[in-house]
Amino acid sequence: MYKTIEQIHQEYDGQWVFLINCTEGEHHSIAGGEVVLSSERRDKVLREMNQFWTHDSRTYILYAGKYPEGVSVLL
Amino acid sequence: MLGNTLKGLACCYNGNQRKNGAIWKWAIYSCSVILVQLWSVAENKYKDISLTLDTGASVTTLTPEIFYALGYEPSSMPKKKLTTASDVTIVSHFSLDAIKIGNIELKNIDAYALKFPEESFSMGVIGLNVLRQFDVELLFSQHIVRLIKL
Repeated sequence: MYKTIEQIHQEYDGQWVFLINCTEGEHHSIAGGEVVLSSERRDKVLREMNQFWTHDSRTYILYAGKYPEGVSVLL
Repeated sequence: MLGNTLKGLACCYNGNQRKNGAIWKWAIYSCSVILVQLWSVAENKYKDISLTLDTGASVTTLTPEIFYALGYEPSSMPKKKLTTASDVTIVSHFSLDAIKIGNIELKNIDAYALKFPEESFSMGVIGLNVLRQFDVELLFSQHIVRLIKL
């Protein structure tokens, strides 16, 4: 089922998600798509995305929501 | 690394054509994550992915799984030494055919395969080898990252 990117961030807060059938929004952004994979573990999504990666439609992988409380990242 | 939250609009401008490009609507905590498109040599098309904008990185890096998915073979690529904040490591060096940010296409971009920990919430960073091709404006008050192509 198609969801907007805002819905995805709310419903999958704290999870990595892989989308197919993505639509383009304003200024080349991703406006939404269909979630086919989701997990709190990034590597699980990366392992399983192969079956969808070459989907005919536009695909997208992202981390939805915010970092957990108290987490800081230095890259 | 950016220390404040950037969330909202990011625009790419192409030279004199002041035309909005990409928007990055969601920044995660204390870093800015931007939507880019990477050229897949396996599929001959662009693939969308979010990467961390990192002004503290001199180079662009991607987690190895993404390189594989794009059709590159890390094992066949030359190895280079890469220094991070916590380590010195040997990584595979690639030349990405193209990266697209908004409507701006950059070709033959040096990149390195570097595994990011799960807890980094990242699949890679856009480093200065890409960013220096733009004037970069970080407008924290407006939650905007603006890239103006040089």
